[in-house]
Amino acid sequence: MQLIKNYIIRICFIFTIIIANISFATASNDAANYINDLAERVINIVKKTDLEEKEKESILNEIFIQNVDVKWIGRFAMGKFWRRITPDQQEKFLTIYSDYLTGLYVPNFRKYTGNKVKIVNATEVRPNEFLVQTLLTDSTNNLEIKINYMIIKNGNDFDDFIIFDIIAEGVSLITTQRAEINSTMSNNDFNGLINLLIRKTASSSK
Amino acid sequence: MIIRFLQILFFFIIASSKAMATTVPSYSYSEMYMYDNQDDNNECDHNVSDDLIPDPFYIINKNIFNINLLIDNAFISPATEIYIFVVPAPARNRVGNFMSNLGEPINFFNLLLQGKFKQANISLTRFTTNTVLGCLGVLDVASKVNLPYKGEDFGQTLAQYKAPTGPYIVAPILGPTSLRDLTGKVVDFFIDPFKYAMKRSERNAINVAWLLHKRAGAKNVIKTIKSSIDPYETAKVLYIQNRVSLIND
Repeated sequence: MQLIKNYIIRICFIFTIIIANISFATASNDAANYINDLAERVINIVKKTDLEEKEKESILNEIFIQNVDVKWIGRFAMGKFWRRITPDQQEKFLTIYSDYLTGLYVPNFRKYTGNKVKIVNATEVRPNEFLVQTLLTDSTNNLEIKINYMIIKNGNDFDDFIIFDIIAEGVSLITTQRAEINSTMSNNDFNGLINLLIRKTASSSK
Repeated sequence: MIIRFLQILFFFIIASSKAMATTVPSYSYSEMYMYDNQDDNNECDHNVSDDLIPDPFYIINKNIFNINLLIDNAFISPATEIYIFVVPAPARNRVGNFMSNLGEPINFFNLLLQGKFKQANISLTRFTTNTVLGCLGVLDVASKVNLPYKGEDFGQTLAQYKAPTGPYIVAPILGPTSLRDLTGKVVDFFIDPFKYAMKRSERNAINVAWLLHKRAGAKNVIKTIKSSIDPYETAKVLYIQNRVSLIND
């Protein structure tokens, strides 16, 4: 009797671990599928010949805002200065910063024509946080670019993911942004930063 | 049966640990507050990139950086645009192949020094294959037969031997580098066999073509740097992150 009991306990234990691993793998697969679908959407829009450049840009901007957590990135980029500015200034910064970041990175997506994205790996690095490793094949320049995405699952639906960092060839978007914003805040005051952001956003949209 | 289950379980654990072995960023989405506090007790508002690489020559570096930007805007960028316009993408790929092939002896030497003998062998095989079968390296035949290109320089070799990065340096024309990588560039320059095999005029022509080709490849990155609110800081942080990635690769 004791032998059967031990046997059942062992089976339950192994079964639990296997189920945990399977759900872990499923969550990672969802993350990989999310990035794959997103990349395909972007490439399809860029390849569309019946859309004007302005229309494409507007759609890509919308996709960027919906799928990248610009507010989180803005806060992260501000770092130690976040608590040194007032809530009104925080809100003003995030609004202007969102336009700046979109203007800085979305034009790069327009060069995705003819490119292919291959998912290399997807892992849950922390609870609900996933690292999706991809390989972007740039057929025009005969290059393969490693692009990793850090994404977080914010809900229970399949597509409740949001990107909070893009790491291209080892270069992290948020680390770069944090260095940029911190350096600017160290050398200027808050208004100086806002004026610079507005000026750069205006010049990148030309 | 249980042994079979344990084997499957072992496989899962190994697979998971291999996946985790890739570089995982240290920051966490939900723990942002800890980043807010990290410099709170620090009276001096130092820059984030100073944590990645020291910049004791900031003033000199920034002046050289600004001069480089002026030179780029006035000469290199327009010349690159002409290069891109005149030489179509497939032909530019051939130029890139040719230049990469000329760099294979340096890759081979550095891979040997790093003890990466298998990669060194691939580098040597690539060089002979592409030189003989690929019209002196214009065609990358080796990549088609699963001999991938891996660029290595003496800066990376020094890093392998735990040589410190040293201070950040902005070199005239060449741009962002570090003391270690600048030393590496000098060593690579002297170990390059083509330096001794070619005439000075041929070397100069190749250097100009290489500069234009590299600049064309980095066009989007340089545009992003110029569009950023602090181009100097952006260039520095992009450079150091990319170097760390290449060294860890």
